[in-house]
Amino acid sequence: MKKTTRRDFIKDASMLGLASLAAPMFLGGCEEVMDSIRERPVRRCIQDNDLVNAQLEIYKAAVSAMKALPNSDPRNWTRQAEIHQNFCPHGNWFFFPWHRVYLYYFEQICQQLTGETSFGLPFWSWCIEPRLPAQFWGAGNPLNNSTRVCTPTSVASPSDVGLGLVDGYLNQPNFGVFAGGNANSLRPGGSRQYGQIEGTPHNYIHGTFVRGDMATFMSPLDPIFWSHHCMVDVCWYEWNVLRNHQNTNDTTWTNFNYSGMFVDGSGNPAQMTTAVSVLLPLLNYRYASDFSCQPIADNQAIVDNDEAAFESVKSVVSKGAPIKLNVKERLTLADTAMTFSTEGKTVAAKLSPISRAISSDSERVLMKLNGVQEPDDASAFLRVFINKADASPKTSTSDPHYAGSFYFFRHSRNAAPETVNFQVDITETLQRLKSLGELSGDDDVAVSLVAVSTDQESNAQIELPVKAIEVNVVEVATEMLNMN
Amino acid sequence: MKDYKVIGALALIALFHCLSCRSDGMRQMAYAKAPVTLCGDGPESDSLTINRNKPFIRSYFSPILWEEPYQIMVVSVKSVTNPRLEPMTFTVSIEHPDGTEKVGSFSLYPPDEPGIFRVTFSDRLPQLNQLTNAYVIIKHTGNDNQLLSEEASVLFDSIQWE
Repeated sequence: MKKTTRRDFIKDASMLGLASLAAPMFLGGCEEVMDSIRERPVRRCIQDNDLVNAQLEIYKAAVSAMKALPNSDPRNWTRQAEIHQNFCPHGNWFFFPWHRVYLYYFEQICQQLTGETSFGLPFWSWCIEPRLPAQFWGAGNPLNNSTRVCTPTSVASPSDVGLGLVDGYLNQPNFGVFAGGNANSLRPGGSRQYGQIEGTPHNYIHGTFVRGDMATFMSPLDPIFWSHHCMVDVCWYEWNVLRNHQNTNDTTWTNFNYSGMFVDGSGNPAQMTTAVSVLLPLLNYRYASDFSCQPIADNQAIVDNDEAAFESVKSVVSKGAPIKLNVKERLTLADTAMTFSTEGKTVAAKLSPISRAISSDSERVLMKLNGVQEPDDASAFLRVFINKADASPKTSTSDPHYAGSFYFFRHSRNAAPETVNFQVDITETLQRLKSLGELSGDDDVAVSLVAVSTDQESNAQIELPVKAIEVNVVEVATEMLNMN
Repeated sequence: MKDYKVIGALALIALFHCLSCRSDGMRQMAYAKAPVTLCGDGPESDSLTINRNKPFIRSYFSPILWEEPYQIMVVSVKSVTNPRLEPMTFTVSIEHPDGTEKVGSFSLYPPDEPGIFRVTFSDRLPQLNQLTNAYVIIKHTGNDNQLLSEEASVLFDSIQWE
């Protein structure tokens, strides 16, 4: 089978429909496409600095221009809000992609009306700035909205929008819990099943904190709506791409076509599927910061000639995964605290249920590390190997015994280290070792964990304390969160 | 054998406690595995309702009887009366013999729309499944703990576990 290259991927993406999103990108050769991707609009966290303030000035001009358009123009400010009133999905798995597409076309309208083709919507990180940003207040300011109940000094509750809370939500591996219950239409009726980002910080900002227009489905009348939802989009991007959690692969979700509701920058009807929407932050705009306003580099897998990194990103954004994991067997591998270092350490147990699991299409084997102490060294992470007692930091990740890695995320280098839980799917490694004749149903399974530094020049000793390790045999199913 | 007697006794205690609430306000949903029927403290006719006079509901449960350690609480809001679109934010806490711990919160948007909300709590209460007696407390906090008006009320359906 021919291996998909980065160039093929970009070509595939254009076949998927990106040509309709950014037609100028595809008029030239591949290098022009790459240039367009590298120079795509940048969305920045709202802080008081020149780069952000320049974008907010463009935003003000765009809002004024949209308000000045006649109501017959679908790009008119109120007409844009009515799209939300009439179509927005809430309390189901279309919440994230629908709003991403809505923001994308809104951003195009702003670009078109101002002539600023590099304009990127700034996002309001309520985690970092719990006040509605100062740039959105003041008489005569197009970004102001007189219906708000909150004031410039009101502070959002940290227990509803705080950094630790949202960080915890972004570590939730289950798509259904993170993104909402499944549905086969935008507004299917019946009970809404909210994902955690939507049900807590998103809803709180709309209905409890800002209020006024924001408490209704005409909320896009308030210009803060767009920056609020841009933050929601950052959260999905971070969960999916930066933290490697997989979206569902259910075709009801991936193939859903958002047609008949949006217009592009010129006011022409536009449409997009969910499958394309997951690629937007990689190819059509990018985020300069994560959800906590910490700077992040552009995705090197896309813009550099880095095949391995590209494969990793591609699998996350386009492969998807079943969304619900029912634990069938919970096996303790180690229930006492231990420390892993660059020397590596191996724990072993007879895990007979895995022989059944790795032969089944509907079961997966997940290894879970509980209570891992965050390292002081930001470059430290853990690699997992199966039946590789001599694993070391120099052991290649292309070794057939390699199963995965755990990375750490610290909000701030000044924050106190916390304990976190990690999970890695070791099914494919077990299947590979079985096919190589290195594993049978009756063998002990040995798990080796090695602490590694991303700084390859570093010789520093790393120690990562862990409280317990367990292996879960899970049954995957997509119907668990069905609301009907 | 002794273990079975202990578990049996606990089951009877739990059953007695839930039977002490009238069943006409109890509702269950079809999809979850371990339903916990809400069983409020107030008059039976409004035991599942939060309003100005009763800003919280409190429900008994016994995690030690669970067949597996659930990690997600599913709270179902059945209906909302909120003509003034007052803030509808709720905190979820678990009260146990050693104290009360807040485990999460959720909000309604628009503030008159019901729905189903998930609260994860495993990191905060790792020994939850060892508890024999515990209560879920859902409290309306709104914005800065402002009380609801006389017109506003929220009817809860059930709490379940995944």
